[in-house]
Amino acid sequence: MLDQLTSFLFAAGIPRPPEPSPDLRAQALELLDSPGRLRASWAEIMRRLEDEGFEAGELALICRVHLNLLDNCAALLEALAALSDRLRLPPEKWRSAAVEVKSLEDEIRPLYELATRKPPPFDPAKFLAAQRKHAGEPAVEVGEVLRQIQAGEAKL
Amino acid sequence: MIPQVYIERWVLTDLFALPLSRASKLKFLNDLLNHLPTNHSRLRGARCENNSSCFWYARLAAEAAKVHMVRFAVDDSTPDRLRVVWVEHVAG
Repeated sequence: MLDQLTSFLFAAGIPRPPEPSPDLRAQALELLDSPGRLRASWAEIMRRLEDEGFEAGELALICRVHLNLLDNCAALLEALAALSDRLRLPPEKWRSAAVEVKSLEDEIRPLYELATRKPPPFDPAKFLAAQRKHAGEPAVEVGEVLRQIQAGEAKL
Repeated sequence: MIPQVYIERWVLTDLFALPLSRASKLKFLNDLLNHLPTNHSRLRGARCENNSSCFWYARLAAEAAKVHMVRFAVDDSTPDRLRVVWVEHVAG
C-alpha cells in the first residue's frame, strides 16, 4: 500500500537537507506509474473478495484508502500537466495514467457505497412472526450446521 | 473467552433460500463460525436500530461478476453466546 506515491505524500512538506539536483523528470515519471500500482493492489483485493469475501467494514476501509490515494493521484496529475513540457513527459503516459485513475474510481466507488450502506431498522413485527412460526425449535450451533451439511443431513 | 455462535432456524431457512451459490452460503456460515466470534469485540459497535441487544454483521462476496452483501443481526445479550437472529441480502 505504501507505494512511492504515498511515501511522497507523507514526506511532502517535511524539511530535509538540500539534495544534489533531484531528477524531477525521473520523479514525475515514477508518479505517472502510481495509478498502475494502485490497479495492481486493487486487483489483489478483488481476488481476495472472490476467494474469501470481506467483512463490510474492512472492505469499506480498504475502498476509502484507495479512493483517497486516487484523489491524491488526480491532484498530482493536474500539477504534472502544467509541467509536462518542462519535464518532457510523454503525453500518452500522462493520458493513460489519468484514464486509469478515473476507471479505478468508477470501479471502487460503488463497492464503497455498498459496503457502507446503512442497515434498515430492525423490524420487531417480522422478528416475532418468524419466532412464532418456528416456536419450540432451538437455535443450532453453527459448527453443527456445517457438520450436518458436510454429512449430507442438511441441504444447502 | 471466544463465544459460541448459534443460528436460529428461520435464519437458516432464509439463508438457504438466498439466490446465491452453495459455495457462497458455506463461506458465510464459515465466517459466522470463525470470523465473527474472534472479532466480536471489534464488530459489536454496529448496534441495530430498534433493538439494542443486537448488532449487524455484514459480509460481502463476489459471485458471477456481481458483489453481494449479506447482513446478519446478532444478539450478544448472553455472555459467551452469540445468537444469529436475522439475515438480509443486499445485491450489489
